[in-house]
Amino acid sequence: MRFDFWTFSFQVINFIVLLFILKGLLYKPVREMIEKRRELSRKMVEDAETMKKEALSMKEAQEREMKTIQDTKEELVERAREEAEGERKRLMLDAQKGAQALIEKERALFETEKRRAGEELNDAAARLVETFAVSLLKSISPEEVHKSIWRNLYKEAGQIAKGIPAAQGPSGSSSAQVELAVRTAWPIGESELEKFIGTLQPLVPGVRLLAMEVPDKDLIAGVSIKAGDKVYDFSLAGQIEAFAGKLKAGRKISDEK
Amino acid sequence: MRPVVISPEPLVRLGPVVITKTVATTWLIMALITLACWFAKKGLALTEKTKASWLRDGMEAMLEAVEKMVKEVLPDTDPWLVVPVIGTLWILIGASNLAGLIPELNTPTADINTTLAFAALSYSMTHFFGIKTRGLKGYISHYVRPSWVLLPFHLIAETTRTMALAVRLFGNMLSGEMIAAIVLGIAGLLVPIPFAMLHIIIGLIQAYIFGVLTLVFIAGGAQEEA
Repeated sequence: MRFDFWTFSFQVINFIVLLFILKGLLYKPVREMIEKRRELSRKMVEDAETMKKEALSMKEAQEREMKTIQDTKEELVERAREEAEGERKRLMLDAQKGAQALIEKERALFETEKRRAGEELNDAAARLVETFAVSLLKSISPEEVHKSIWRNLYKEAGQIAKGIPAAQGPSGSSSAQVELAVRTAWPIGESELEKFIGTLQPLVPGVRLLAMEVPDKDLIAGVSIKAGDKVYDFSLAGQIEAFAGKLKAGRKISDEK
Repeated sequence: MRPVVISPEPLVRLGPVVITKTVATTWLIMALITLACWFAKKGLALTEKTKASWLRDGMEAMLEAVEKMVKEVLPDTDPWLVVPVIGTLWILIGASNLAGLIPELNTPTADINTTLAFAALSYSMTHFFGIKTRGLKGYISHYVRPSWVLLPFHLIAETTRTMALAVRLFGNMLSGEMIAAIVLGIAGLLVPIPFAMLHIIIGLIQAYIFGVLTLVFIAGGAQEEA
């Protein structure tokens, strides 16, 4: 074992030469490759992180969108419910109004029908009363009634006189003549008729009264006097008809009240 | 039985220049390393698996291990300033340690001149990186800290540790070769195989120790003392 300068020197040089050879052939390309691989790895990690962030961001955006859709859906449902409720109320109101109108209409119709039926009933009743009265009075002794009416007629002479047209006109015309048509259920007789004219004549001065007897069995009893265009009915049939008319009129008045 | 020669064997003489067998073997090893690295570099350009991919992957794994180790020891320095030195030491010493397994080749690291050369390089690199990192004044000043009295002790320590580095490698490799030669001479052909395996392990471990110690020395020179 001895120190050899040349071997020592060659080995130093060999190391340095090998160092430079390996720098070019090994260290530089390996370092570049390692750096490239690390860069690629770092980039992949960054890309993965970016993708993760994007995915999270998309997820959040989607969640926000879903929430918005959910809110909108709830809002629409609520609005539709409110609208439906409003529509239901409106329809109910319309239906109530319609029903009320229908009820009013039916009520009015009912009232009309009721009134008409009442009127018809009254008319029928009046007719029945009239018929009954006429039949009744016809069956009893109407002549006596006739005489009684005739006797009372003298009391109505003033009223009849007022109805004679000529008597209301200018007096002094001695030529005025009024013909009285006396319709009678029973024969009166000329003397009796003249007696009545004699009672009536002083009440209508300036007018000459003429009487003409007209038999009419339909009057049942009593008389009906026509002076000009006026008729003074003192017959039983006329009384009954007046009563029936009053009956109808009285019912109408009560209905109106 | 192959004789174990502990003095350099001259192979060629070119005037005053003597080329020993150790140097020639080192050149052969360098050529093989260069070839392997060329294949590895070719493999680096390829992404798919090729025949050279195992070499490429092995080189990458080794350099990444060196880089990691340098980062641990020198966290504030660019690791790729030191990686080539440590890597070359590992590769050259490792290959040199294993060269003796090939018949007719001797182990260059069993020559004290080779280990002294590597130790001298380690010593030089320690100073180079120390000065580069801390500056000349800052680096020299650490020899006199905490007192001038310690200067000779620092110098002795550095010299002895460098010598220890060289002698350790030389002694281990020479002893390994001698054991292999003795066992081969006594027991025959197959018996030395376990010893050869042991020699391989020892050779790789010694290369690793040499590189790590060099790295520690470089780190010690480059880092400020607390």
